[in-house]
Amino acid sequence: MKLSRRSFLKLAGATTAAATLTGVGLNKASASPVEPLRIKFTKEIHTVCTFCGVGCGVICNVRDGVIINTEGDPDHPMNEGTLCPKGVSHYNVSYVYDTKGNPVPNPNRLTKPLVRRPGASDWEELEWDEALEIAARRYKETRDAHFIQQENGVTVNRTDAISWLGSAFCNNEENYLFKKIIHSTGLVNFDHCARL
Amino acid sequence: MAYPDMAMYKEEIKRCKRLYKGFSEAEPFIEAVCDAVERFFKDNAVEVLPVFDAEEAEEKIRKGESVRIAPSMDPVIAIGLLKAISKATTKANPDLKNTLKELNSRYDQFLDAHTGQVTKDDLTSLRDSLIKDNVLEKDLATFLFSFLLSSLYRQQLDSISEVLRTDLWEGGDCPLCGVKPHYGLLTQEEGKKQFDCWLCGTVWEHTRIKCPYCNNSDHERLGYFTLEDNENCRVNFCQDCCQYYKIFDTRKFHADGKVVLSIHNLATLNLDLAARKEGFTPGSGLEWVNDSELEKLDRQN
Repeated sequence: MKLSRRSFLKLAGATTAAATLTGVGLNKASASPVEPLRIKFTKEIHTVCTFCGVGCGVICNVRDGVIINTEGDPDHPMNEGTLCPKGVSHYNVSYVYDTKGNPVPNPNRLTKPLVRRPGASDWEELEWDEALEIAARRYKETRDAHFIQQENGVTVNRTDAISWLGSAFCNNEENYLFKKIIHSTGLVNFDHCARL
Repeated sequence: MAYPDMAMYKEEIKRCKRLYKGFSEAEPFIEAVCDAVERFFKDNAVEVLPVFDAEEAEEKIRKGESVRIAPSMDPVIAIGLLKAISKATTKANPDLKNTLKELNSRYDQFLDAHTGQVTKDDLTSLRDSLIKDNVLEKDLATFLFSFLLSSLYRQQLDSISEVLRTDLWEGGDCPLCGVKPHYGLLTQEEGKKQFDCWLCGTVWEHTRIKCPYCNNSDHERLGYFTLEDNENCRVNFCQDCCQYYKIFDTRKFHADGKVVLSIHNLATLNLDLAARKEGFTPGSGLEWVNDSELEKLDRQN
């Protein structure tokens, strides 16, 4: 294509003069430099509050695999964004505050089973398999030792020596299985931490 | 309410100066443009759309269909306003005088070619040709034409937008004009996600953890990012469709009453740049980042 000097200058002028927002003070890069480390990625994860039987919706803000905030789910039909004082404190299952008010990992949060052996003064960490084995054996031994088959000539098949406290952290299916165990082993003392 | 409500705009600019670093430099430019729009509408009355069947609109919304109102515009009014906005832009930077000359000539050509009513698509074609011919970069073109179109749309649709049954709407696009959103907010009280249509100003609620563009609601494939020194604005993204939008968390800056999000959007264009850098495209189709800026970032890496 043949270009006259005039056309060339016009074209060159147009090439360099494309106007931008930076020219009027809206400088994207300098307003706040965008460096990779300055960006914080977060995920919003749906969950359901397990403190009671209402089942309020909760959104957990998770950054690098760590919960940084929890809040009521505004789209959940049960609570529409609100949470009760217990639900609001979900964050504190994972964190407590130090004397300066900064969140630190909750030292009282159990992440492994603990056992205090007969005669010992300290708690000892153990693996889940061993913990479950001990709990099952003690459960069976106690139940067998205190099992009542008949009372006043009536078959009762029960034990008063064990009581079972359920947890709102368990879901429907887990609670169904717990109820099966409770009845099949003759427990009559059972309750739940959130009777609503 | 007259559009634009300058007192509200000025208040918002003041708030944005406080919230976003570096925004002060843009204040004269934005104020000049808002003043120009206000003056223009004082001298040139734009008729409110006379035909609107509220019942029909409600029925559509109940069926999950956007009303998709696309008002036609008087080209003389549209180009007149565009000239006023462009002139105000030049005031902020006298170096753009030659650009203004070129723009005015292109606007006049457009006016010669369009004698009847024009639509959003006609004006969008004009914008695209200005970008293609290197008169304007994408960001300034997006600014000029989104400001123009939103001013004209709001002037005509404000009264309709206020009575529309947005409470029945669950879609990701605007229930009134049908465009995809670019920004929204989290409400003060409940933290609900609320979109604010960049074009007609209609406000509607949308499920918090859901992509408005592809309807993905898998929380593992959705997320947001913020800048370390400013968590007022989140860039929400979807890893399925790789698109983004911005959400302003009004709980963080204790906003009372109406928030003019178009100003917050301008104050946080650095986040659009960050989103593009991370590989996301604007689901709204509004290009606030220039190719040259992306190339520059690529070179830095």
